[in-house]
Amino acid sequence: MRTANLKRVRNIAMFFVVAAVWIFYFFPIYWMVSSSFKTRVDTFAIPPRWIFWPTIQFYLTSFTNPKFLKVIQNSLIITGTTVVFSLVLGAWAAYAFARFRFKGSLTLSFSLIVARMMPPIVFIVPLYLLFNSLKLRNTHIGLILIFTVFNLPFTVWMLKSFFEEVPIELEEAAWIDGASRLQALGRVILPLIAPGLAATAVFAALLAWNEFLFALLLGGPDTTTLPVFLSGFLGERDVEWGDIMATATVAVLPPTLLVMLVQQNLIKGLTLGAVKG
Amino acid sequence: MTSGERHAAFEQGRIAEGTQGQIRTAGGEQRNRVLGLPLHILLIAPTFLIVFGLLVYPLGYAIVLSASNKILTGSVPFKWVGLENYLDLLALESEMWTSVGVTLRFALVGVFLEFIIGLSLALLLNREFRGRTWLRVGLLVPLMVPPLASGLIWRIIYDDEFGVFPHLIRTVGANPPIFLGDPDWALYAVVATEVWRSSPFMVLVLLAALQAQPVETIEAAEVDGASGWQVFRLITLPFITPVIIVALLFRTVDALRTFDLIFLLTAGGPGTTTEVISMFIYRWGFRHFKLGFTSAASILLMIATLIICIFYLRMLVVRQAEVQLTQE
Repeated sequence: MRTANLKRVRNIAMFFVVAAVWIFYFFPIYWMVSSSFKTRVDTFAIPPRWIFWPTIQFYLTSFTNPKFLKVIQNSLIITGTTVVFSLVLGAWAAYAFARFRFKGSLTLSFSLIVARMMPPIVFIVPLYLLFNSLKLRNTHIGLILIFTVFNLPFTVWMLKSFFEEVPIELEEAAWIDGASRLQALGRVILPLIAPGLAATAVFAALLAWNEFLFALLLGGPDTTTLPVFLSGFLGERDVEWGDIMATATVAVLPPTLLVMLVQQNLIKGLTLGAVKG
Repeated sequence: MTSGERHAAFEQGRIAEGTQGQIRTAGGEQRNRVLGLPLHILLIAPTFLIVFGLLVYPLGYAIVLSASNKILTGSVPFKWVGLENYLDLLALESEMWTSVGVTLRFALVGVFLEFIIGLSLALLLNREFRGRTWLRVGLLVPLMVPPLASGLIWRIIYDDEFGVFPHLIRTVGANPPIFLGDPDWALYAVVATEVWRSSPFMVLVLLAALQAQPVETIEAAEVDGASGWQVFRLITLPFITPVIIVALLFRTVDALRTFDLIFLLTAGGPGTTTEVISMFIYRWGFRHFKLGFTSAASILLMIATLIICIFYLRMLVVRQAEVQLTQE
């Protein structure tokens, strides 16, 4: 009897703990999405309105605004190309690190980790001057290059850990069948690690999609990406929160849903393969 | 012959030269070269060329610049100043120390809270309960919100006129501070946002470590009569320590680089009470345009980051040496 009571108390306590966790982590997301459906009057209402008549006016104005569509297009082009670059270069380097033992391989692969640890702001002044003199400022390719560089440490390490999981015998079998190393890589190994590749791609996409510092300082009016566009709202005199929150929702939700699809490999990505999830 | 059989035959030396003579040498010396160059060099070359061009070279450039008085829109004639920028930065009355203090408070308080919350939630999620998978997947959402958007979200939550959070405090009868505008509160309001966004990282990484732990050792300890706390302290904690160190390393260096969140939430204000080191560098480089001075600050930040990395990595190495010793 007593143990049954104790168990009930514990279950109830557990329920409240879990509920508190949900509220802490989800309320801000809910508030962002709900604010994007609120009219100006509802947003500024005191006390805050929990129940309101939703409006899609901010999504309508956003998606009919040519400037916003251009921003989405910039973000998609820059993110997409960055993903392709970092995946191709990353896979080559990762394969070399996973399958070859050569002088300096340890130093080189660890130097990439050091690059990952450095605060990006350290590089901003020289890069700004460099981009100015090379006429790379305010160009798509400039941002793509710099995003790729900051993606590479993590794509290389993530892919390296996936390559290492593939038994070498599979590759050797392909060689015996007459394939060259690169053919074996392309036709045998890459298909095998397809889920890992997908996870890496999603991660690279997320980093490029969310990048702000370089997009702000090395980009320009022709390359405005979503984060830069979002930050621009606050400079306006009349801050339209519904507009901001609709744009933020568009910036946040699609990549988040994409990440959910590859979440088994998430931890590996977050820690450069140091921790397996 | 299937490829497996052929492979076996090859291993036993029965096929010296493969079908159609395509296998050149058993060691694959030939295979590892393309156009006469070693394949691995060709494979890593593009990555390191662009890393060199866009990271290493600029870093060298920054070191050179840091010894000059370069200004972006030059009305002052360019001249070399030697170590003057460094001496200005490191001088006792320098503004940099305020910013270093803010950064350390931000990083230490933030990472500490994230670790406590992270470990508790990881232990919670390591138990069986209804809705566990949902909660685990749901935790990904704040993690995926870019710092910039999380800054915007929390600005409407903190807003002293129509924000929900001050409203809730008012409903319970207290008088809320102006969270982002009060020098005593602003930094902690920013830390709370960072904890919200980043603690899921700790949860998920530590949970992965907990789940990798072999069940047998825990069961054996329980059979021997160890209490739950003893199991945690003597078995679980040592097992997950390396992962804890890795997680702390990642979170610390990320906290040190924080820029977007603060740029959006407070822009370093009120005054300089939330001006972390990245904001300090941004202000001197892109508000006052003193590029030489800013470069010197960047180099100092780089050195500080390296020291912190080495500190954590040493901890990891010492830890592994200890484990090896106890195993022997």
